[in-house]
Amino acid sequence: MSATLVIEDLITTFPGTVRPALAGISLEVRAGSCTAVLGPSGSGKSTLLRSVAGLEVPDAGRVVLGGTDLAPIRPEQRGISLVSQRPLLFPHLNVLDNVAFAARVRGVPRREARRDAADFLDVVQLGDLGNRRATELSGGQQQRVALARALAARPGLLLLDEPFSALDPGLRTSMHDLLAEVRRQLSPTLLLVTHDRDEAVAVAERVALLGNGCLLQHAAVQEIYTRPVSLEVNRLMGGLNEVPGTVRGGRHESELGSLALPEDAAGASGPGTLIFRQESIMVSGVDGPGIPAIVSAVKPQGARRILTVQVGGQLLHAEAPWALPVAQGTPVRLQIPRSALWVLPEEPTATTTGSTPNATGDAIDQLVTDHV
Amino acid sequence: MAVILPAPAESRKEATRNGLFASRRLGRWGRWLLVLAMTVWFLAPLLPLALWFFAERWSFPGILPQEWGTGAVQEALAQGAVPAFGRSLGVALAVMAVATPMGLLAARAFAFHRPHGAGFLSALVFAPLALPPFAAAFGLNVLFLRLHLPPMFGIVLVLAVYALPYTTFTLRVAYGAYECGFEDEARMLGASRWRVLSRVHLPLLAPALMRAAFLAFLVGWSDYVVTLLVGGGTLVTVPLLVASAAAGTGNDAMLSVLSVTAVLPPLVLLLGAAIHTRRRLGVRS
Repeated sequence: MSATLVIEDLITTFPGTVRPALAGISLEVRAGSCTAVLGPSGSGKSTLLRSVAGLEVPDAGRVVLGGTDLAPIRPEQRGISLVSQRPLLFPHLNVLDNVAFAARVRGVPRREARRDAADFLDVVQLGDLGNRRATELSGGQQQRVALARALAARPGLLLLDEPFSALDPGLRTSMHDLLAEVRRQLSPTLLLVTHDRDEAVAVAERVALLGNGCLLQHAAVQEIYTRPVSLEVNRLMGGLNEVPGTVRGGRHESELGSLALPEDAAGASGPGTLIFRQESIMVSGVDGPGIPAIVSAVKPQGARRILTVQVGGQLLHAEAPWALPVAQGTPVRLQIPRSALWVLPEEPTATTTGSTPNATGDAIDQLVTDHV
Repeated sequence: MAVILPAPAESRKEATRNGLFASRRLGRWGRWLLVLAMTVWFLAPLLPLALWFFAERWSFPGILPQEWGTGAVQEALAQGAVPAFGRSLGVALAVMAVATPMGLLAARAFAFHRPHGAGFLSALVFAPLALPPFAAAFGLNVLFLRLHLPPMFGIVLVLAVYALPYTTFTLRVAYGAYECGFEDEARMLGASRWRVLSRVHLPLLAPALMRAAFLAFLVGWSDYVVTLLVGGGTLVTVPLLVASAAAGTGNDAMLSVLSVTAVLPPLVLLLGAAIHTRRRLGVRS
């Protein structure tokens, strides 16, 4: 029950607005794979999902599922299921009949539909709650039922619109595990919208990053983190380090000195911005190896701390464990693994505003040839 | 008058947990007294009605009837109670059948489409509440006569307009709380527009629809002025019989039979709605 989804140059504009919510998105999700659509609020994530589902009518572009162009097909006949942030279980039906809904509207006899629904309730580990009223369940249980209901429709494509963002972190983790289990058993094609980078990484193997209605990059999880196509992508993925300089003979020269670049990053010579993840920097005491730096600020972030350090006139950010004794003014040493380095031919600016549609169009072309 | 629905389970639980709604000792006694007073207030008028129903002779100063019998029932039947009952039922059901779907459409328009001049339109729909039926019926009577409209048709037409504010308001409130996401979800699960209507939309609106239909039924069932004026006395319904019996003297026994008859259909509908709601909400006894 999985099919490949191909989206081509999708443009959706809401009535009464000038700027399109989707400004020409092209994307491919292979059968049985999971792509997370990531992006800030208002970037067009949910519109993309609703356009694929047929709940919004795009102005231009194509949505092809399993080789069939979906444009003339009504939402209910597309073979696509949608799980949204709210479970939206039908309150006039019990849990089992909610899951059996798709079969019932297809005309399957009640008994058979219920038997089938019970199997899907087992998949989400709620087999014994079939007779409960939907409103009697907890939020996490309701979302599990919503997932079972969507799967029971045997969709070629399952759309998940921030399905776990209303759940607490523990419950969210268990839902991620459940989704992994569902993928193992049924291998549906998944398109998941989320604003949570960690969730995208936990659930999907590829990430499609959206900004201002444009697809900024669609790549494997590790690639989008370490090999972003633009500074905007790097920033949206939480990257904090941008060092201006010059590429010459496979090395980047800047305030940090001359650093040898990995082979895939050593492009043409000329001006280039060096980027690397704050997580990849190894911070050690003043007697350790690496580039000397001075800590200028310390900000706690969960189990780790983000250090702002100064190397000459250049500010960098690095993650450090709580165990490392640092404070403002502490001299430290930084080691940056060669493989973590990446160079973009852009100049860093104070704020990277949205790319012009043309530039992004080019980026998409490049993406299509590079990654898809 | 309206069918009161039990609050959803969650809010009931919330209310008992919330200290503001917790029962206080003095309040509990007060509440019992209030319940008792209300019961007496509602049931006491029905007691003489029930006694008169079977009273053959009940003259002052007797506390109970002196003679019992079923003469009053026979008298009521002789006065045409059965056909009147049928006509009343016909008018009430017709008003219900017209005003409920119209109210549904009006409520949808107000809730989802925000028509131009919504305020004016809303005032127009609710205007019958302010307009005395007497005034409306007098003018229309002449018009309908000239148009040669059958009395039944004219009566239902006017009464449906009087029922419309109730059905519109009831359903508008329901649409205000209606979650359109359910319909998107149903469509994604493969339900066609008609299936969405029959399996999601109408079941979710069913309680409000029942309330609206019940109110429309009551408008038709209890009407006197419009039936009298527009019908010109040709269509004798239960309220018309009751009124003419009440105008005379010595008709107390027959009057009570007619009154009890008039109470029954709304009561049956109310009970039916309550049972349906209980079953729907899965309330286990």
